[in-house]
Amino acid sequence: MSTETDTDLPFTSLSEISARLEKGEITSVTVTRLMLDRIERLNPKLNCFITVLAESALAQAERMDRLAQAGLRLGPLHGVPVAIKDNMATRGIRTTAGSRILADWVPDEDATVVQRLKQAGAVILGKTNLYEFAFGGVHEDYGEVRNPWQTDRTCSASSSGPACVVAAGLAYASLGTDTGGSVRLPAAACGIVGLKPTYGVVSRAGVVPAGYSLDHVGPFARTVRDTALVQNAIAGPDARDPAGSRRPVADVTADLGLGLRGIVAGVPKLQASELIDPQMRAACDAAIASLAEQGAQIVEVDLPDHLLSRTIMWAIAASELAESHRDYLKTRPQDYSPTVLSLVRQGAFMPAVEYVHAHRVRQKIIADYQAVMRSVDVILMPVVPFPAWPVGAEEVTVANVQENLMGSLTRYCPPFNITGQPAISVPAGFDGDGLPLALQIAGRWHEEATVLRVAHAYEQAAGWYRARPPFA
Amino acid sequence: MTQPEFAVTAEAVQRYAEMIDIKVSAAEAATLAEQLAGGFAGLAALWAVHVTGFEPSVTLPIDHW
Repeated sequence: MSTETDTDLPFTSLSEISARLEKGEITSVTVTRLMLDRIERLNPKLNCFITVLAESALAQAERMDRLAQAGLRLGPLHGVPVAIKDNMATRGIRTTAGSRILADWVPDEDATVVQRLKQAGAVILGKTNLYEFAFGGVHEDYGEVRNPWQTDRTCSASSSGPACVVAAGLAYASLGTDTGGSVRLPAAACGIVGLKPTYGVVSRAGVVPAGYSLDHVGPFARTVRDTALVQNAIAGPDARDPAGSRRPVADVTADLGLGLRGIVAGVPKLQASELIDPQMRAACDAAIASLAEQGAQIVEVDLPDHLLSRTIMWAIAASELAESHRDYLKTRPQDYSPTVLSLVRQGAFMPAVEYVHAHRVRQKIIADYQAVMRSVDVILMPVVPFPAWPVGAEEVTVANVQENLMGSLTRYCPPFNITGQPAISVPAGFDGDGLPLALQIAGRWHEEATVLRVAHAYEQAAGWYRARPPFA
Repeated sequence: MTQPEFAVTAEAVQRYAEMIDIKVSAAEAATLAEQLAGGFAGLAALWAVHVTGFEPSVTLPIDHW
């Protein structure tokens, strides 16, 4: 006979776990042990953790319980077990970035986001699997993360591990990075929420760079409110991040209950060449209809040149990646996976003129999007044209047409890495095979609260967050 | 603006690799040339965008807009 601890507790929301910890109904040690047991049981199949920090997690949980017993509470994450992507530096703990090159790297200080999670009282369970250097593909030393909805499917892009652990009930939240969609795409594939905040609002200090000017750190959780709570904990100015925002940040949970009256949502005109899985399209259309029913005004908008974003992303990210890998490219080319070696080399071959021109086109696109955002509060569009794809696939069939996987995958997320706007992936149902579908909501710069408000309204009406994957 | 016509060949890739001190075998150069040709074709399209008045130096950080 199963108990609540076995079946319900891992899928309880972070908010509720936090409330129960605050009331003393459960302890951090109890939920931490539960998660560690589940990780031990499920990680061999899901391959979502690279390093499990059982000992330090239990020690931190005990500290948080002692503080709580003494009447001290560090905030909503106090005693809550979470996970981080293994490209975030951890003091005294190896940080591989999913690579052979950094397999033995042990940083001597924490990334700022890790410090902030600890200051908020979170219990870090471990460091999750990812694409090599958060770019391009997996390294054979670590292998592909398996999707808990169907284990022969991937968890999509680079933050595959952080998304998997939340979807599978192995952590209540996690942190990932997003250079061209790597928070939103795995969130969509795993049926959870993933937020890419405004560029610079969450510090990148101590995070292994992929493409400096496109890199963002963002949270995953099973609900929008939980995602907002983690965002509150990690956001804010940091002198260690040279491109970090200096603006103070507000509580992004503040607007969650405001509903949608007064919200104007733009839906882009998509081009005829943009193939989208019919079930994904229907799910997005239904989500937009739900927002309209709740009072949002839906208008059509034109996003000029959005299909150029992936080319701009390639030119900029590959160049910036190659610059930071200059030494390794010369001394350790054999230690890369073929995919990432190729991408780093492509960056090394990028003419400076093309890199500069890509930045100028980027500025033009930012100006165009600023004009669009003067008339709408949010933009609604798919995260990705298709659901999670089979492990090992290089092509996908979209609306009965075979397309290159990477080309098709990087259609709807990169525009917001280019512009730096906040964007979220929120679950929007399941296809006929039981694979998650998703909607993307992007907002104005520094207006994460509005993005979360719209996502929360849809989530509460639709209720997809209640679903649990079979392999959990 | 006039769009560039990139001519990416395996030989050119190998010569450039030598110039910038990166080791690339002949077989790798052939593969890389194919990949770069595809990517550069996309870059050519960016030259159709009118960018007068836009400068890369103001892209980031966002607060400085």
